[in-house]
Amino acid sequence: MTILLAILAAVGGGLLYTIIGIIPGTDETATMVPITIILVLAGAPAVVLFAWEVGIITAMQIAHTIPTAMTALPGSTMAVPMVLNCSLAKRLGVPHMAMRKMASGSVVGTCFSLPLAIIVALILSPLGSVIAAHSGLIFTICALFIAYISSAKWGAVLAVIPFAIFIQALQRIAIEGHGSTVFTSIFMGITIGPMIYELFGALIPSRRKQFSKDEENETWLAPESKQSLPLIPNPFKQLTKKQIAFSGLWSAISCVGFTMSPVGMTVLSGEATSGRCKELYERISTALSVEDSTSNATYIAGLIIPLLGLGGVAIGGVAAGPAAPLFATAPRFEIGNNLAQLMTLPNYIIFGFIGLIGGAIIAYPIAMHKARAWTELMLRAISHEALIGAFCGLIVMLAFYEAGILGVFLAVTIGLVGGFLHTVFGVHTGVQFMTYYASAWIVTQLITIAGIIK
Amino acid sequence: MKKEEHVGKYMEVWGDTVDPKELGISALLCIVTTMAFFLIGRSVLSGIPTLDPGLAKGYSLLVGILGCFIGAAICAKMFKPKRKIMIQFEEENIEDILKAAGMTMEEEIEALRTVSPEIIKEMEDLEIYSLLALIPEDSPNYKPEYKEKLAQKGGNKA
Repeated sequence: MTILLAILAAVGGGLLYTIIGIIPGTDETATMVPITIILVLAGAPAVVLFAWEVGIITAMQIAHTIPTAMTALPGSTMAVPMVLNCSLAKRLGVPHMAMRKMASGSVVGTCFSLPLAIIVALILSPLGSVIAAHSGLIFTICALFIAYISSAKWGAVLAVIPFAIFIQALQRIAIEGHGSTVFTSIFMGITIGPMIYELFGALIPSRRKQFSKDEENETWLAPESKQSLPLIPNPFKQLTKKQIAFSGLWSAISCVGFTMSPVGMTVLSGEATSGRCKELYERISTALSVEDSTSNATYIAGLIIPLLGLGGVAIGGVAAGPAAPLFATAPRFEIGNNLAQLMTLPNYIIFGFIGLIGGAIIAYPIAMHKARAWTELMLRAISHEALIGAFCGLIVMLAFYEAGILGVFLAVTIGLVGGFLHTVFGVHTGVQFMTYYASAWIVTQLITIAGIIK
Repeated sequence: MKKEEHVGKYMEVWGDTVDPKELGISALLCIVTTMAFFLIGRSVLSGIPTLDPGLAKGYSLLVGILGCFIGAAICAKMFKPKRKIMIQFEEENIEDILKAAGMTMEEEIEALRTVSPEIIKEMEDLEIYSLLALIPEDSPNYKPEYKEKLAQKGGNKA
């Protein structure tokens, strides 16, 4: 029964996130978190949630290659590093090659990273209880580290402390008005920050000009391919031996470096691989396959290692981002009582593969065969207004569900401040998510220090 | 009086163009449909005595999602996307592409000389004759037919 439910979740999630992935520009965290929170709160079993998460990650990572290859617009945040090579492939007249390499690389990356992540997690697991006991300090170190490697450098490091105070101040307001601290409202607020900032800017006359334009966006769509392929082509046969070897290598590196930013890791893999290929076609095709397999591997590793290896402490960009609801969703999950405590080792293997296959079963054939038709359909049928509207509806509902109308106020407040930090100063939302986890510890320490120094 | 600055018809939000007024209507409409479904779902489901109250709240979120999809579908029907879709057929000059990739013609020719047969095979399948025709004659990868095929396709637009 549970297995059936898990298959259903993986395939259903796979279909939904195939569609979301094809819509250009959709952010992984922003689109994955709300629906995952809903499934957690609706009481879905832990293993089903795990299969769901692996499924939607796999589907989205395959589907986001479709618009990236066909229009050179990034299908999601993770596809941004692939845009240059995709535009080159398009100019060479072989966008279909770019897409097949990326989609196959994606599946290959997941196949490698699932077992590798479990192995790395088992090696790290003796550390799990130590890490759980000092999670506040570790979150703080991670927040500072992610801040330092962001484009804002020391500015972001300095911003961590005031932002932590800000979050805790909002939590006090939440306790006052709602009776307990909030999670979803703050987390969703950070997620929608960049959008709130843009909308807010549009209301300010002196800023409006900067955000406005007269022209519609021009999108160049590539023509249909003439090549024929079997319905579900073997992804390993779509890549050369060298490409498979590099994909495997970078999947392993991603597992070890699971705390790094997934986008950063993907950029790194692309640069390193490009350097090893001198010929243009080889460079484009190899970089694209390795980049997509790396981006998938960082996601799978970032989900599995903190759960299985670190006792469910949400360390890293994935655990504190798209997969966050599996680590903490009040009132059902919290650090120390989440998927990590509810799943056994065989669960990870069985439901991981259910997720992988369920997620790929729809997205992969579509990417291989119907890329152009689906891209055109999405571009013509789904307006950006409808997409943002649906998103606003989801967020208001989730914030309201958690803390009534106060939750909505809190989400908008943190969104405006966070969006400003993200857009203007480059203190990106990843830094803000980690600061959220670190904020309770940071503020406790600050109050202690304030008590000593008078 | 200060002259009003020119303000465009559209706005760039979240990486694509939108009409601000239509966006406002969409956001409002979707919030209303989502919340209406959620609140109705919550009052109906919490009225079922056999259902656990926690689960009833969770399920009402699923009802809310339904409302959200309905709202989005109405918006998609009402407001057309602000995108101009153009279809590209032309293949570009190979030298420009190489330049965009940060490479020179000489580097590419040298690299083509030694590239693996596996890659050559893929390029043949994809009919990238604009690159294949650059392979120098003293290379094991060289085949005279590449230049003929390229000529048939209209030649390198140099």
